[in-house]
Amino acid sequence: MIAGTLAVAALSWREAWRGRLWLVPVAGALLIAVLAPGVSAADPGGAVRLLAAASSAAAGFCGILMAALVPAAQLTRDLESRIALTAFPKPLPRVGWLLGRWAGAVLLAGAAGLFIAAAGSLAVAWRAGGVPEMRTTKASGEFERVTGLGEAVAVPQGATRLAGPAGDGVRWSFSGLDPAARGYELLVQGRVGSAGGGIVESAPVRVVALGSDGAVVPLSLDPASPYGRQPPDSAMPGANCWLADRNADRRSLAADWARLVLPEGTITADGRLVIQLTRLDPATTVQIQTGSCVVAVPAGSQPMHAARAVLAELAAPAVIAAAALLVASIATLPVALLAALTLAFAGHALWAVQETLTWGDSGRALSRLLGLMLQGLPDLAATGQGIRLAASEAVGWSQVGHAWLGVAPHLVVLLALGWWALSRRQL
Amino acid sequence: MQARAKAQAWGGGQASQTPKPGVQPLSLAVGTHKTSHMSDEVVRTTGLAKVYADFWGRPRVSALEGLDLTIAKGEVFGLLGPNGSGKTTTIKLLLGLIRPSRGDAFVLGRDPGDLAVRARVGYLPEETYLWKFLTADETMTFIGRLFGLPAAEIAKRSDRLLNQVGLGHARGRRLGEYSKGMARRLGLAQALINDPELVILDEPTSGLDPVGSAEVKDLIIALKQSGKTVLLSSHLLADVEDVCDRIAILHRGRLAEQGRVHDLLADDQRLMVELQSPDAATIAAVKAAAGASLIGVAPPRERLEQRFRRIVAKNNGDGAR
Repeated sequence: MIAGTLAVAALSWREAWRGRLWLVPVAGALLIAVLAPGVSAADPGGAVRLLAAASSAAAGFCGILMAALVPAAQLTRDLESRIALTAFPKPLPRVGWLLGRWAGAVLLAGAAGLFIAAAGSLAVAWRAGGVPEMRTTKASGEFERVTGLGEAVAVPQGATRLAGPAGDGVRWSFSGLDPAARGYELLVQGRVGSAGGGIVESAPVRVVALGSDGAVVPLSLDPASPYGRQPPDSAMPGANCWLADRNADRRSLAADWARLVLPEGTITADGRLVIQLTRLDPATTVQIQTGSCVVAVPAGSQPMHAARAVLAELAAPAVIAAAALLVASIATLPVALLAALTLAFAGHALWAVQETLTWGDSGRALSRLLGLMLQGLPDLAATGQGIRLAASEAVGWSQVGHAWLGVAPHLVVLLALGWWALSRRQL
Repeated sequence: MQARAKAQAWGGGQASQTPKPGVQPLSLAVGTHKTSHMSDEVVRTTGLAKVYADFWGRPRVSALEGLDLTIAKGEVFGLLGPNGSGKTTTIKLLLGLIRPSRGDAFVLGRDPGDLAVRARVGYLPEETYLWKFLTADETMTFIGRLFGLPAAEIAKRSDRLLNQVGLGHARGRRLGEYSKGMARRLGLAQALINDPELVILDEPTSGLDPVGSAEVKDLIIALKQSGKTVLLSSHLLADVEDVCDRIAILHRGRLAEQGRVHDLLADDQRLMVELQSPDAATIAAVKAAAGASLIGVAPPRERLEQRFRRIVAKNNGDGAR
């Protein structure tokens, strides 16, 4: 059955190609090429981040469009133009035909997405003046508050606010790092405020690595780091980093974190690293949490991650294609398209449904309906990787697997129902 | 005789019953479906009935009622009947495309839906439904892959069959550019790619010119000579009469008549006498001998199909045709 299924998948590909469906990804790539020079943003690097996110969104949108259109059109043509009378008496079970059409659509959506992602990577590299580097992050294992007297205090809530006399701080402990690795960076960010209620743009801090022998190694800011730099007309003895206010929405590893260089020897032979941050200006307050300091590990250049992001985002078109095939097995092309696009929109709006339920002012019936939507529909927005790419965060195979596992139950149910519907279809 | 001679030439490529190298023997794919008892029966139906229902399962049309049919191995069997008589429904039931409402159908001793059975059956639908964006070569390759044939075997069979149906010159053209007759020929070729034991042809000469129709008849005879069983459904009674061993006539979903063509058409009440270049005296003597039982005396007329084929062959410079 596998050979037959692959033959049907190849047929889908050839059918779409000769139907000039390649114009869709080409149009998407051209759109990115045309828009790339005009993209602008308020802060440095913002245009690059915007472009990366837009490319990812375009690839995802193109994939969803193709997943809704292609399999529905192909299967309804098979059935309505009676090609099935030629094909279905052959020794390929109908489930093989269905899976072949599905696999063909997913392949098409993936290829289109990869093409657009490649165009997006070129645009990003052009605007960034080079191919951006991506990073994976390692979180700390322990997080403590350090008083001005040097006493370590546990922070059970995982977050603390440094205020009052200067000299207090926090300490993070990392483990499992590779002492021989090169290119590690320490990333730090936090929320900054004024002790007197005024406006403070940044708070000077001192970030050091503590050796196992008690040695203190001051870290230096990466010259390429746009965040953490000393503001003009400001001075603070001992400060090596100036934290500007950042919340969780500002997550670009390249632009929203102070990037400090970790010199050789700061990671112990057993892979441990201890970092201490000390607040230096009593006029400022700094809110710090466990995740405010991470170790960034180089993860390679952006195009490979953009490609993996497409594979992760392909999980959404895969579900939509399965739904389109199910409906196309029992209904006409317009109905199948309507169903597939409805699923696409609903699956991308589950966060809004969740918010509506959270507000709690819906009627009981509507709340019940929205609750059923939340339980029954796949969260297609969860598979999106554009934010990670824009934040220079690596997209690993684990993200790809997670995205596909997230939709796997829906995929299995839709394809099984499609099989049942197609096998009952009388020709 | 021409048809028979040509049939032998076409049959040369089809006669082999032994499994091809690299092709999985079909007998290995054994299922647990119900089986027919008669090993020489290729098709057997018992009380076969089909009632078409609407989306909600409500019965709408009774297309077939209690059909009992048997087709033996090596037979060319004709299925006749007016429109709506149940011919196509019968074929769909024998292909496993639809399920019977009542009764049983066995093809090659098994349930028609059995994949092992499907691998041994070739089918040409009433109209040629193929993929317009594919070339003939690509179509044959695709169909061959559905049968799980190795690429080399597909290429070999495709080459032979496309040449046999007269499409060797157009094999690289997309089907969207094909005439109806060319598409029909390709439909016939795809039905034979798996070297089937049972060939089901639904209106095989539909859309073909007289030469093409005659070639299809030649092919059917060739298939019979190579041991294949052919189920032929056609409106063209002359075609059926030329090639079929037995026929069944359906009417409003019921079997109206069944038997050998020779037996059904035999007329014991009349006798035809043919004379080679008789003179007037001979004719007069025959008339006198026949007396009052004489119905008529007339020179034999050539069939229009024969004359058409001869003219086309002459203009093609092909004396053999």
